[in-house]
Amino acid sequence: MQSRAGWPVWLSIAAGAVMFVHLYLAFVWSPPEQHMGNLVRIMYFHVPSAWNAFFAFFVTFVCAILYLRRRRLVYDLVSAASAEIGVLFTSITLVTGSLWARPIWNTWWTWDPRLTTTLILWFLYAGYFLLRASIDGRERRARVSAVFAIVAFADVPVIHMSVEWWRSIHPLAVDETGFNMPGSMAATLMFGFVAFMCLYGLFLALRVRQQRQAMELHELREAVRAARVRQEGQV
Amino acid sequence: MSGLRVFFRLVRKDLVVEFRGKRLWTSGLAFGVLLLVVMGIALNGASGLPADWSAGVLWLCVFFATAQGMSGRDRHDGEMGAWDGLMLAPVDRSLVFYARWAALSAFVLAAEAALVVAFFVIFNQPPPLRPGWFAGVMAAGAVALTGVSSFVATLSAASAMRDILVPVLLFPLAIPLFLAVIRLTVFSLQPAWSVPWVWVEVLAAYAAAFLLVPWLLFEPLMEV
Repeated sequence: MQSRAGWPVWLSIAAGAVMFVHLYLAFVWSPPEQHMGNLVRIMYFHVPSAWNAFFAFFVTFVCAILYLRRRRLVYDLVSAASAEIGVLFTSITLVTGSLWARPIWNTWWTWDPRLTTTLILWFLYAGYFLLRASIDGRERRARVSAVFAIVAFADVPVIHMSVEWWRSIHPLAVDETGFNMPGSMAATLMFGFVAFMCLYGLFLALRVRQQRQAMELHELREAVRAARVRQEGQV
Repeated sequence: MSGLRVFFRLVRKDLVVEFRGKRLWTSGLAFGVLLLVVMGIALNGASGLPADWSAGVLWLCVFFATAQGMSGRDRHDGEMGAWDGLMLAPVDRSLVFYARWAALSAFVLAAEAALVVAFFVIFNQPPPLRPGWFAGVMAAGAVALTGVSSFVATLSAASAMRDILVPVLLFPLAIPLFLAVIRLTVFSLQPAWSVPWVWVEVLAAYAAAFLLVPWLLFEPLMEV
């Protein structure tokens, strides 16, 4: 019992330490960019959060398929938890992108293909939560949500390919030729991926644990209610 | 009974149900025309709208009219055990979806034709420069839109918020389609140098995806 209660603390400390190192690298160690100056530091949060959002939605997609194949509720829990974190990271991506765009592009928002498809992604998964919240019955909710999660994931490769399919002004930090930046900036960015991945792992573990506890609590409550009904019947 | 015969019987069933209920006509079309009128007022008569805008306005009305018409469609199937009857059909369950898609496409196309007439009258637009393209884009867009909105309507049938969820889920899913049909409609309305094939490809890919997705995913949606 103690070990079950202890792991979130250790995981939180580890993720916090990694994030602290990332903050140091992003704000102190890495140099300012030649043209953008210190604005480049937004990239160390914008790009890793975008990549982690895609990863989170990929986990949602895979767990949705697994749920439909095996019908085990744990896949639904992981799927929903990962989608929540994905929406959080997508929100961070959109906000940090907007903060960067204002001084660089002279606008908070532009209808660039990558920006637009990312915003669509946010709306798709916001719809996913509306759908989940409005369906009664654990299994029915899991089944319908899984189908929608599979369909919604189609937007992720579209975001990735959007800069090639349509004219885009969105800069490419990483492409098939590698990192388009000096080594110190690339190293900070890579560390950012690791740090955000740790954060994702922590959030996912905590959220799934919380959801499982909620499920166990619900089952206990149902068992108590059934026992009370039986008892009253006997009296 | 062969799959094709079942398909045609299901199409007939959906045509009859829709014809009797007149849901797409009464709510969808009326809503679409009303939206056109409101937009015409908001845009101050809108007779001099550029093609980019007018194509957007037209498709926005088609989208809202379709979403409105589709809301709560599957509710009727849940009544009097009709859904259980469909589950007993001795064919692949995705056929139920394809039959519904085919039947509803006929109604959406008819509603869209009426909306297009209303659009040209209310917005005082000149006739399209490429009528063949215009008709083709309107038809392909309507069929693709009906496919995705039927799927979304089935998806949200179990939801307590189904009436609001259909447009909320439909619009993000349909944005690639929306962009493609608007660009192709603009091409059919005004002079242009070259055919925007990239949008033809987007439209075709979108239609192909929604032809494939229900075959893979419709069965779990039909479970009670």
